[in-house]
Amino acid sequence: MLRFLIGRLGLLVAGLLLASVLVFLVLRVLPGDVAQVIGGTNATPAQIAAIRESLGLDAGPVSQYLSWLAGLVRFDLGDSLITGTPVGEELGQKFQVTLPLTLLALVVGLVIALPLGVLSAVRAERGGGAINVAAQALAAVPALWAGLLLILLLGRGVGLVPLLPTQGFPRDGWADPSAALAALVLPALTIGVIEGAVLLRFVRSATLEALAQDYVRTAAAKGLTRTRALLTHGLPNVGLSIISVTALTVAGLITGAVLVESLFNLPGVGRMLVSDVGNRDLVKVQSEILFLTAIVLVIGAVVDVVHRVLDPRLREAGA
Amino acid sequence: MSDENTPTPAEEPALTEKKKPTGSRRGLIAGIVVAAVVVVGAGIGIPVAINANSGSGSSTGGGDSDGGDAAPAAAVNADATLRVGLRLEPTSLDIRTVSGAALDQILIDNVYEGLVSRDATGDISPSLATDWTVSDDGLTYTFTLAPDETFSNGDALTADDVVWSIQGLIDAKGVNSGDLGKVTDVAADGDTTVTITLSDRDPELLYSLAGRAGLVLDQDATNEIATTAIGSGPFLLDSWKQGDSITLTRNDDYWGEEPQLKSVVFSYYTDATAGNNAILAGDLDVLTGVDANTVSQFDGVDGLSVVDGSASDKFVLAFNNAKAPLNDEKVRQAIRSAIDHEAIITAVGGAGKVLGGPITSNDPGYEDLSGLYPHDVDKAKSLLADAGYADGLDLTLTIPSFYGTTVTDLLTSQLAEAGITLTVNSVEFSTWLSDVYTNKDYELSIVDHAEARDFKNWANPDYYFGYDNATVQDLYAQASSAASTDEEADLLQQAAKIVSEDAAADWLYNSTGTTIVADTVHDFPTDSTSSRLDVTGVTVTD
Repeated sequence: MLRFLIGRLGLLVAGLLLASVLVFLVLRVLPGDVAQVIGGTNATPAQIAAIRESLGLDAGPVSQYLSWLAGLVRFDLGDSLITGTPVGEELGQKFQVTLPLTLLALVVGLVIALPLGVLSAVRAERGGGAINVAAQALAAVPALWAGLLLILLLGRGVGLVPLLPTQGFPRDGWADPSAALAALVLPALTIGVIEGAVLLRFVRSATLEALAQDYVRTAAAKGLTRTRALLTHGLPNVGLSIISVTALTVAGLITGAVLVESLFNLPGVGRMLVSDVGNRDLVKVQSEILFLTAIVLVIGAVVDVVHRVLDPRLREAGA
Repeated sequence: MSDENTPTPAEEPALTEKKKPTGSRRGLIAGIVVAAVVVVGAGIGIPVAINANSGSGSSTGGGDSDGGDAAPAAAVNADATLRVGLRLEPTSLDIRTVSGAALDQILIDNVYEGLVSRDATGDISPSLATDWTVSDDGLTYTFTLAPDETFSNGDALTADDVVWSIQGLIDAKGVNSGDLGKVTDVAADGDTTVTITLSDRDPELLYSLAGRAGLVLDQDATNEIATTAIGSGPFLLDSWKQGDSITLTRNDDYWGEEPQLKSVVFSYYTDATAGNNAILAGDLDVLTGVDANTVSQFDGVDGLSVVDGSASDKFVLAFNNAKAPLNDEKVRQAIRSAIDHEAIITAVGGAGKVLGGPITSNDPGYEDLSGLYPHDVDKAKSLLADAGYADGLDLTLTIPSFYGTTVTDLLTSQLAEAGITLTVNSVEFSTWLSDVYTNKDYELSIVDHAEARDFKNWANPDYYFGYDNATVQDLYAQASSAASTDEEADLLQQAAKIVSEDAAADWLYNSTGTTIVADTVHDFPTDSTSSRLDVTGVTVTD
């Protein structure tokens, strides 16, 4: 087990390193630079050069990468090239919007996916297929379109049933939790419904797989109803893989947030990232992306370990 | 201006990626794919808020507009909060080194003050300097400050601060320091007198000093200028929630007359629809830079008025005058003749005026030049044939993505009628800055030149236009040291006509910004809202 943990940790670190190189390189391919953005359309080449020098952009890529890496090792994500604000501080602020948004969307997704997924598998003949088809269609819906539709249905001021705020987040953040939560409902529904549809299809196939297992049939033969047998014997066995997929869904939720935050004018990580890329604030962008990547990688690692702990088959196979 | 946010398809791969069952390597791959997708996704399609020259609108005539119907019948609420929706957020608040109209828009007049101020038509008014005199030779300007001026941190504002600010901007090569190119000396005489000496006459000096070049900052302040501000203005910068809003509060110790607003909240809406939704939901009192194609949404909405303003925004179809095939005057003339400007203005919701040359009606040197190249497809074809392109011509147009596709779609079909095949290359603004502005690697380009009085770019052969005409440069040089503003205007008018006759570019339209104002808001400025938004005189009634 210890060997496994160390190995998994090593893989995580290697993954982060690889991601850091990738992120750094990809960003350097983007044309344009922050000095031109700061200087704008009236700056002379001499002014641009002065800005570039003062920001340390004239250093070579290798030394730029190494100094970034040196900061990362000390958990220092660096400072914005434009405002000088520490990136870590800003990420912390924006996550007050994005993290609850992601979690709320996940809840929405699970509430949709779990019952409907199981139902569509159990009732495969009677209407289950319809649920599956609906989920396929829903999973293909662009988030932006779904968001606009929700605004038109439920948005305050513009919607048919003007219930919920569609724009922005309370300026004082979570000081008024109900207002903050209300601001997140529509965006969370937008991402959650789509992610839920994706998840639903996985739950369905996992349930179908469980239904086909011998031990479920045996349990049913011993007098349990088919549903009972599925719930007590079948699902616990496929449940693990559902948890894994759910964890990886978080990655999708984060990408969804990038789009949805712009539509709903939420000051979250996604919108910050988009504007930072546009401004070519590369130090900030690379740290932000690496941070998001790290979240996904860490979740992946944790899921692996949990699997290992809970599933005796894996434990034995790896020993 | 239709710079709507377009959805990017880039998030799709991530969705498919994590449907697969887990496994440590799959998790790792998924993570890296997410990283890559986010980079690419953010890097392409999604429009981005950038300070300079993007598409926010601006405004008309007489300066101020009353948002509502009649004069304020209800009582003015002196402790009101004014909520204003804007399009472009500043990237930084460092008004000394970071360019972009989004900083000028909210900070000048409200938070920072200059020696003098100006309105949308360029009329100069007193600000920190209550009075000034100009010597007969036009080389010495003497400004007198009010004796009791203070900064928001309590420090007295003296002539020394003025000298430090103006000389400091020149020395640091800060934004707009080029406007002070003829300044040889800035000197204080006592606490309230400042003398600026020039090497040559400059009829634009007061105008420049009413902009960033004349702002006065506290030389003893130690605040972080990129995220906070210490000025002398009637408002204090209370907070900046990056990606969301900037809040100003009334400066209760203001040296002048205090405003009738307790606070002003500027919220930023990168998505045009989002801004419309916000004011319809009652979350805003004012929304600027409204997409004119969407104003029908406000028809019959109680309590909101749609106001059109004048603006200095020039949507310029730039030609790379220095490079074939656009170094051929006939090709440029053909393009100008092929364009139906009225149709373009209709396509942008009518929010524009025909502009036949480089100077707008608000600026000195304006003349209606729209008759020089009337829409004439046959003439365009024959000009192209003369230039040797009887069989057609392929051209590429590079445009920042936030301008949307309304104008480029129409332009593509208009030019096609004349036998020109247009390929539209929509790029991020930072890419545009690099490829077009800096490296001049382009054929055609469209950008909103939002700045007023920017004729100098036509007299600079190194500017991205690549336009090099000795007569124009000579006329501009004379205008720059003209003895009077009338003489300056006359010389600029001559130069502008040559630029337009040479077809150095085509001016698609001069945008008139659309603003939505709640009827409870009075005297909100609706001219040139994208470059300067002085809210000190605004009142709100209950």
